[in-house]
Amino acid sequence: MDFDITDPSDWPKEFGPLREIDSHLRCPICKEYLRAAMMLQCHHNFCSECIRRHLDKESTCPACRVSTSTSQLRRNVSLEEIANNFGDVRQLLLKTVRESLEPKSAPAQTLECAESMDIDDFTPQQKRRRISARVGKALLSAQRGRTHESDDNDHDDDFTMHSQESSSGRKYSTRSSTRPVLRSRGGRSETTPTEQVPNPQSASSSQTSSYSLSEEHTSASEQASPTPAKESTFKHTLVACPVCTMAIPEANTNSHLDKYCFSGKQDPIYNVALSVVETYSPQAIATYEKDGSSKSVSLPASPQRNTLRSAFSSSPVRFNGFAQQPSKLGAQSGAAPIPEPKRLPKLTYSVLNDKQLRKKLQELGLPTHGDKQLMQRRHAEYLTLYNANCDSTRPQTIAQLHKAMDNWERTYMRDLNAKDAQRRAQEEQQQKYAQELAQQKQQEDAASTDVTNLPSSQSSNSGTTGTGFVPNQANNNDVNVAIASQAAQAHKLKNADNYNDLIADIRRRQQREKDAKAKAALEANDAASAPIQPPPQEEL
Amino acid sequence: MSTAVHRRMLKEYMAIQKNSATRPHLELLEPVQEDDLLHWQAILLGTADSAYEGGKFHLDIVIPSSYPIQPPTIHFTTKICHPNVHFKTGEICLDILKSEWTPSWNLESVCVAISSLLTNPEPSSPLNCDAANLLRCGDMAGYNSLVKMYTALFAMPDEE
Repeated sequence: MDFDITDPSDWPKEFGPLREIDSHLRCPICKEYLRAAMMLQCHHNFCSECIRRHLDKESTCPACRVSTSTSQLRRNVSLEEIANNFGDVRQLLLKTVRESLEPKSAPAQTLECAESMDIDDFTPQQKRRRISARVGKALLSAQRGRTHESDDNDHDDDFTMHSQESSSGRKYSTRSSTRPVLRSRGGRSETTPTEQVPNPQSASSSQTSSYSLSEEHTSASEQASPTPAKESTFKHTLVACPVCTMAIPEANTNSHLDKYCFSGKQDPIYNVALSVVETYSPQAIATYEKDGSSKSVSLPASPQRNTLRSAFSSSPVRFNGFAQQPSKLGAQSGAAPIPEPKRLPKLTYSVLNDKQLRKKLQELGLPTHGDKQLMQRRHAEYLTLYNANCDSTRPQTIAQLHKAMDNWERTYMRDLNAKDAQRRAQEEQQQKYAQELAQQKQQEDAASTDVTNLPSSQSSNSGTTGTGFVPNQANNNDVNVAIASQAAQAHKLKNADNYNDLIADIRRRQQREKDAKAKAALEANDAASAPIQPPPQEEL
Repeated sequence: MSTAVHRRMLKEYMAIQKNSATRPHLELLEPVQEDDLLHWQAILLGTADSAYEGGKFHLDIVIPSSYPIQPPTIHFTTKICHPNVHFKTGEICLDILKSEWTPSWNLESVCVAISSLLTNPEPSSPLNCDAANLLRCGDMAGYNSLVKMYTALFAMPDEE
């Protein structure tokens, strides 16, 4: 199984509160982190999908049995966000926590943990930490290469101190072991109080730059100009225009507003948004400040920001006046109020006939085969998935929902088939039993008739039972057997249609799968035939 | 394969393995086969100072595919004399396995509930009328000796 199973008990005992937090962020039904957390009247929280599924069957809270209903579900957005973020940071946090508990003597292992982390999504501080780990490892291996007596080595000590620190909560502060790397990369931009790196450059730059740009930007600016002396004198005073959000020099604000924004025109000189300008190299910003956008375009921006910049500049935002502003501003910052999706209403399946239900399914783009029960289940399942999706802050697309439905359909059919097989096996067993019983009775009958035929050879006792009871009993049993086999036959006849439907359905499904496979194979062949050489090379 | 049931059962399996030390009355709780997480078995230990003391009672647990919305089906495979357990089939009459089931329960808590049912029988809804009648008449000595006998007969295979 390839999926990742997590549990509150993953946290070490020493971190009891973390266990508590973890278990409180989980849905009591599926035991996963809350997806689209919904709160009931009784203040218990569940995944939207889980609680909807439960409320389909029963109208009580799963935790406290207070009666409730779907209409009383309320979104708990902040809890959902907490759960989402905790889930995202869980792996890293767990590693850190475990590292902090490990004894000092195993630094190599901690290094490996830090090294294997996927850092793409993490903050610069965490990146730095990884860098420190890498440096520490390199240093350690270097030491091993030399002699093993260098325990008093500065770097080694610092590194073990670093792992001690994480236990006391100051997880991400960096010490001298990180200095060799940090000095050349982001050292200058460190302004947080925990990182008091005795670096004169950092002090000077943080004092001199009146407008503090983002950390990445400063580090990027270093790459663009390797001479730090020039940079420290650089000062810029660009601000975002309160009306059109374009970057303008602070001194020009009033004239810009009077001249352009209030008259509904566009500033021909300063017409790049501040967020875009911030991604430029310092020289470009300086030029922009002086001359506007006309010249700054030709100047080199930091390489990793090029794509972002071109993405912005390819769709220049222009404002003509006040009227369009609010909506455009909203759209730009991504805060436009997305209309709440409409939840699908529940259907009263008992008043719908097959045709109507089929139509409803068709409207939703769902398959319409199968009997009414299957269609009903399918509709209910889709309703749950769809409505739960509406509650999510990270909603899926309709296509993804349909994919989930396909999956559901497959498992449902498999379950159905399994149940069917079980039922058939049971029936067979019953029939077998009935037959055996019949045979046994026949033998007994034969024996008893023998007994009645030969009364002289047997004692009087057996003779009386033989004549009095047995034929009667045998008759009864025969009747019972006949009834049982009739009932089995009737059951078979009654369900024959169902079986046939099912078999036809399965055949259709298999055919469809076959077709899809053939198509995929054809496509794969086409794709493979065009570049013949590359695939084997890649494999090698 | 990664349906909700399987995920949940895997989680329960992991949690059970981790907390195995904290369950005094549960000797075993695991899937019958490693690759089928929908069929479990458990062994309950008779509580000390009760008539079931020393007995090992096997449970057969079948998880429906709609678990945890629907409760698991549990029955005793060891014969046991108890007012709420069917003597022949091993069926258990316990509200939380039927109407009072909620998805917040898990296999471990259900096993604990069954274990406590052994020491706290409910004679008003009996599946074993003989045992229940003894209890209802207040014949504790008769009831206890009956239970002890059946425990010794069926639940202590090693000592015979």
